[in-house]
Amino acid sequence: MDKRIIFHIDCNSAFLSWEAVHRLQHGHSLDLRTVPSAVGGSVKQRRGIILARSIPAKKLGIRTGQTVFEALSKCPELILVPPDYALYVQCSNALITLLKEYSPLVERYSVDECFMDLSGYGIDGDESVDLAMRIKQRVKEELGFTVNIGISINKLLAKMASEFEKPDKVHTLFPEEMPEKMWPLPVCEMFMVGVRTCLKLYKYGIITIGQLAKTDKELLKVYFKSYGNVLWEYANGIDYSEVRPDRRDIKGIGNSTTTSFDVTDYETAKLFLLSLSEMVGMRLRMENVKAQVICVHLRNSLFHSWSHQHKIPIPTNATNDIYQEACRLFLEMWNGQPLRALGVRTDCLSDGNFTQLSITDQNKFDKISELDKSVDYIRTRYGNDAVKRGVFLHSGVAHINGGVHDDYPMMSSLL
Amino acid sequence: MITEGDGMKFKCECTVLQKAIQVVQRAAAVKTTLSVLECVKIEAKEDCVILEANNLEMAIEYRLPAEIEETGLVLVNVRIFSEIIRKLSMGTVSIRSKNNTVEISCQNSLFNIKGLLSDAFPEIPKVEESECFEIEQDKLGKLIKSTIFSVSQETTRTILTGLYMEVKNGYVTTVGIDSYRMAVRKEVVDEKYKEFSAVVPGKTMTELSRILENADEKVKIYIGRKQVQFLFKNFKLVSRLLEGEFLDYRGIIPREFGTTIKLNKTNFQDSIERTLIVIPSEDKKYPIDISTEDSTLNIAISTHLGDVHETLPVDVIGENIDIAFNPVFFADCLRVMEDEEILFKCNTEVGPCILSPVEGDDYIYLIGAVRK
Repeated sequence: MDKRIIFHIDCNSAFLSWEAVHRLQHGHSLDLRTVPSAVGGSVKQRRGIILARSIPAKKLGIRTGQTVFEALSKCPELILVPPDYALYVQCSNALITLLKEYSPLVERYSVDECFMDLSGYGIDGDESVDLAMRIKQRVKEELGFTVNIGISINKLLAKMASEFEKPDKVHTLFPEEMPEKMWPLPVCEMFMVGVRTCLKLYKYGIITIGQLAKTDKELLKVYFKSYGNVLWEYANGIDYSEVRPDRRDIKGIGNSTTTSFDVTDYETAKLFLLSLSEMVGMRLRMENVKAQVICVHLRNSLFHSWSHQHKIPIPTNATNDIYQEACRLFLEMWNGQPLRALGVRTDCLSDGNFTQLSITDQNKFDKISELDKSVDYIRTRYGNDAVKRGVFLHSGVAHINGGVHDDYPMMSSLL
Repeated sequence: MITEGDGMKFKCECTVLQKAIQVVQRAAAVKTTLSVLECVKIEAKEDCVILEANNLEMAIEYRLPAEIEETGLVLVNVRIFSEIIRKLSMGTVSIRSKNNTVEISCQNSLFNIKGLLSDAFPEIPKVEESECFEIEQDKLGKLIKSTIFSVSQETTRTILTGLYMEVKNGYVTTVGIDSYRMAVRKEVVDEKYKEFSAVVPGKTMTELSRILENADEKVKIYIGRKQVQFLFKNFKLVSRLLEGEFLDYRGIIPREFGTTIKLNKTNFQDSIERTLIVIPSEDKKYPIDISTEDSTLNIAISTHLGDVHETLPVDVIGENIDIAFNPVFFADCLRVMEDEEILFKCNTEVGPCILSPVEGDDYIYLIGAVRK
């Protein structure tokens, strides 16, 4: 077989660029990308981290993963915009559609990155760079945002390549380029190496990827068990995984929120569960899937977390169903301690086109699904705040909570 | 000669003990923090040995003949005990307890296993103020197996996790409902019994159906306010009842149907079973399309693994249909139906369908449709 050609397409500060493009298209004159700006939660409500920031913000020392509070104290004029999940999915889908014109083998790795397999088209290294340049240009012109494209013979190296200089660049990282382009990098830059592993590696005197690559594999196995093998292979650019286009994009959908005050009573907790269920339900319906497993997780003021989950007999994406199950789970597990964070997640997703009808009170189910549909329609058209449930009035709790997905593997673009 | 001591001692036939422990074991708790509930109580009385297990939901007490040497009782972990007894060679088993150790010997084997203090073992509740009726074991088995699969697994509506049992006008009826389907089955009993009903936990019924033997030997059923008791020749099973109002199952069955299809049960079942092949194990919620065209019934399913089309010659009375259903629900019912010819009734608009015998009303299965 010919050498494989794999592209890794990574959107540059995705959430921020998408938001900027969206604003420009809707009549704003300011391009967020040209000023210090960031996507993140809200300071007042003591929650949220910076999810993405503009290049000017980066220059001022704003980092992804930083708390909003920290960022604002460093740069008070920073423009903060809230995350908009629906927009991200829309942009991500648009990118995938464009890429599929070039190869059917496109894998959405996370909402802002994907892999594309171009093997077997008779493209060599130089031609692949030309092609990547053309794709990058088209994305910029047609979709309005910039991407980095990494090119190599496997997913791992392609991904490493796209992490090189940003934004709006094409990089190659073929195996013969490893000693020059990858090995001098610190190990923490390598895919799959987190803070913990990194510190452990430092302890053994391994600072660069090159040192890791040259370390005896057996020795790594002693230190890291089977993971040592993976580390060694990655450092040497070995990866055989396939680009999987039929990979289910999402395994589960969930949202969580850190509350602006400690929650100490069931009534308030219910409001948060409802606002989270609203978001989760909306997202399930947007993806046209139904979930069978509902899970609630809680974190108390001492930062201890715990969770309960339950498998319901028939999959659902109705906000009400999710909410009711969430309340039940909550009562099952809550011992009255003050809570600082709550989350609702769903799992075990199936096709949302089918509805198993009840033999008893079918009308109720139909009405609820119609209601959800109408509310979704109004919200997509006139914004999420166009219609809200009465219980949230003057409650101090946002009627939809958990703006950012916490289920796509976010890889390097988020901590 | 019988002597009183702190231990007990008896001998009995290995096969008798094997059978007894197999039955009693079903009432022992599987995973619990109360280790006493995972035990079997072995009690040597003057004239027999009593084995008892109790998981607080249901309990079984079994009497077996034995040669008693010393009376007394001991508790021992049921899984270990039954494993030992099951693996023993034939012949006579001799069991004795001393302090907290149980000695089991049989031919060339000798076990010493740890027992438990006996005073914490829960007592089997007495079933008081009870109604009573008698039914053959095989009939009861049929009643349970024909309806138990429809019992809800959903713990949020407790009452539906039970199997409804009703005695009325010379019939016993069992009903299982899980909101999306319903199974009703009846059998004849003596007309003399008073009318009454109860909801027995599904788990109890499942275990009971495994104990029942395919014989016309009768079981006596006592239904009290809170418990039910199934009395066999040498053992009894007592279970708590579920409290609350069961659904009005008769009211759920639609009265009129636009379409009635007469079909061959075996052929229909085979077709349905074949459609299950293409259902991916990770996503079991794919529906089948059932449609008619004159005298042909079409069954179709399409999943990402592939598709299946089945056609069957049938008699259709009424309008042609095109409805989607969960094929698993059909397969469950068809597996327990005995008639060769059955009726499939439904309405053209999306609504539940029923499967029933051509004549009579010994059983009825109601299945909710799937909207696409």
